[in-house]
Amino acid sequence: MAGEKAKVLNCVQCGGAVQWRAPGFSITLVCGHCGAVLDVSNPEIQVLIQAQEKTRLKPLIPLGTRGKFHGETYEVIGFMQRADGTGQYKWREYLLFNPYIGYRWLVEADGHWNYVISTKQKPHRRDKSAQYLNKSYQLFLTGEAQVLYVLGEFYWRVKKGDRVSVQDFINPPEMLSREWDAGEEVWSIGEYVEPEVVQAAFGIKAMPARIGVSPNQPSPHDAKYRRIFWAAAVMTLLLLLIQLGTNRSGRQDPVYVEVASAAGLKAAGGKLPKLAHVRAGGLDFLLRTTVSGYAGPYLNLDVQMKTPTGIDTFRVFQEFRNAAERATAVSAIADLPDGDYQVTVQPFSGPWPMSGEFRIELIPQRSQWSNFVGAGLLLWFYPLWLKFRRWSFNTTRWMQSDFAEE
Amino acid sequence: MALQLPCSSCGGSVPFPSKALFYAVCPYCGSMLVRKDLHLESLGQVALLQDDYSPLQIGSEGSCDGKAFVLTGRIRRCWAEGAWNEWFMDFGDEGEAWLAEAQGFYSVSRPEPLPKPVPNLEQLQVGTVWELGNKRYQVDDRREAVVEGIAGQLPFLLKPGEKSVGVDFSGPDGRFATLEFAAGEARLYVGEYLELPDLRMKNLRELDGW
Repeated sequence: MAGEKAKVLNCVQCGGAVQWRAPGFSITLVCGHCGAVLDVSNPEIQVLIQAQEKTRLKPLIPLGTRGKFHGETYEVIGFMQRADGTGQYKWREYLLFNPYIGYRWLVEADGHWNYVISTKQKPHRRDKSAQYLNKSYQLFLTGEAQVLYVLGEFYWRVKKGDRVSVQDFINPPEMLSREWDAGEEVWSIGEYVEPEVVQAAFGIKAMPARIGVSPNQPSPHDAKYRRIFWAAAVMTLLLLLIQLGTNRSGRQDPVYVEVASAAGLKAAGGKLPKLAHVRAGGLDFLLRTTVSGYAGPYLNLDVQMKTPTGIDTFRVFQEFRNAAERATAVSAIADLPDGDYQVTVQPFSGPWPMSGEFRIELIPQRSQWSNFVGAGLLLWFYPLWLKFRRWSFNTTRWMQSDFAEE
Repeated sequence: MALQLPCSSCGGSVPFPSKALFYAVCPYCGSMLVRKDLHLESLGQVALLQDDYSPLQIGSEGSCDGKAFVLTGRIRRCWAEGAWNEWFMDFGDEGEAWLAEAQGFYSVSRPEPLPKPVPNLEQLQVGTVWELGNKRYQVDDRREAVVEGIAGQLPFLLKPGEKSVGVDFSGPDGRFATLEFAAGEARLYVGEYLELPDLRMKNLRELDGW
């Protein structure tokens, strides 16, 4: 699919035929035969660099390859191997061209790819961030970049040992880059591209494996986390509505009311004749005892609730110290399991004679939150775990930065 | 149908699509022509501009800010780092603008009245700030250029070889300004950078292999 009708010119150094894929656009052209870097901005072609290092690098995407990317066809017309200031860390840049659109870049570093466009506006730079088109980017690194090796053609004049200062600002999946030297400042905006997308677009057989986390690589947990987070949030809201609905319905009416006289109780051995049928699903209850017609100075009640099997037994002591004011004693019974309870009331009045009437009520309490909290914890375990994964991914990302994440 | 007038030098019919522009270069012989009513006078001759690999051509149409335009003329300038084209955008009654094209980068700018006093070229160094309509414009770049050639219908004539110095400013909201000093005169243009597809162009030139 290479552009068949590219213009051909002869290298002024070795005379070899050199394809010119973007005549009129390109300013620098590299001779594929002798490696000379030529200035073709004027009809009088100049040699910028006579020869490059002997080790010829083969670009992963051969020059002249066309591919459809983001809906448009681009041709790879230039290739650069670049490195940081130390020359140790290397990456590769492919210049894409379409005369009806302009230039784009594909940048590959450690198997991670970025699709890069030069910015149409100059971003606003702050101390540790930059602003571009209403988006904020955080400074990730400041360093140097140098050109190690070039192939193909470029729209600017490639100089020998071209060195620029660089700053990368990130807002995954985007990266805003600033390259500058004494003369000019150039900004570009890149977007992380999954290797498979590049592979499919340009028909590459084997892609280099991804190493580590790239500065603007979107966390693979992001989408999943967001999805799970919202699912958990919706579920929590539903649970909350159910909970509140249950609360509002109140159930303040007693589910069990029994009235017995002191004499009757004594005759029955304290046993109330009616069983308490509790069918509330483990709610809290209040046991309210109202005593009337008792004349003594104090009264103790020993109230027991027992299922026939005796597995669930609840026992509360109630005291009436002042006959006039504390005719009603209230005790709480937490988490009363469903069942049929035999209620036994044993009054003690010490040396004073026992008399009067007892009204025993079992009142369900406002529904408790423990189930809700338990369900919530279960529900949020997975999203929190994903959040942790996401956090550790980001930590790995920022470990390569000169700056702390803010 | 666009107005066509016979060239006073070679007799070829020279298109005058815009009635507001009185200068044109004959596409056959390179005569610089001025229209006086319905006949043309030659003001000299220029070499015909060679085609470059630009997708634009005289007659290309598009729309900018919702207004239709047609490219009627072209100025090609050279500088130390290569060359660029300036295409005259005729909006009919809606004014005019220039579409600059350099190595696949595009901008549209419109002529603006020069605020007084006009800054001195010597004062404008990289980083200098200039208040333009209450907005801060900062000098990014200065470059000297030479007219390589002209073609089509233009609002004025330029002779190949004419020198100019352009000072580029970047302003707020992604806008830029260019102050151009040529032949003792200064001209101001304000505009913005864009992508060619933004202009929804038609009648572009067909390029080999694309």
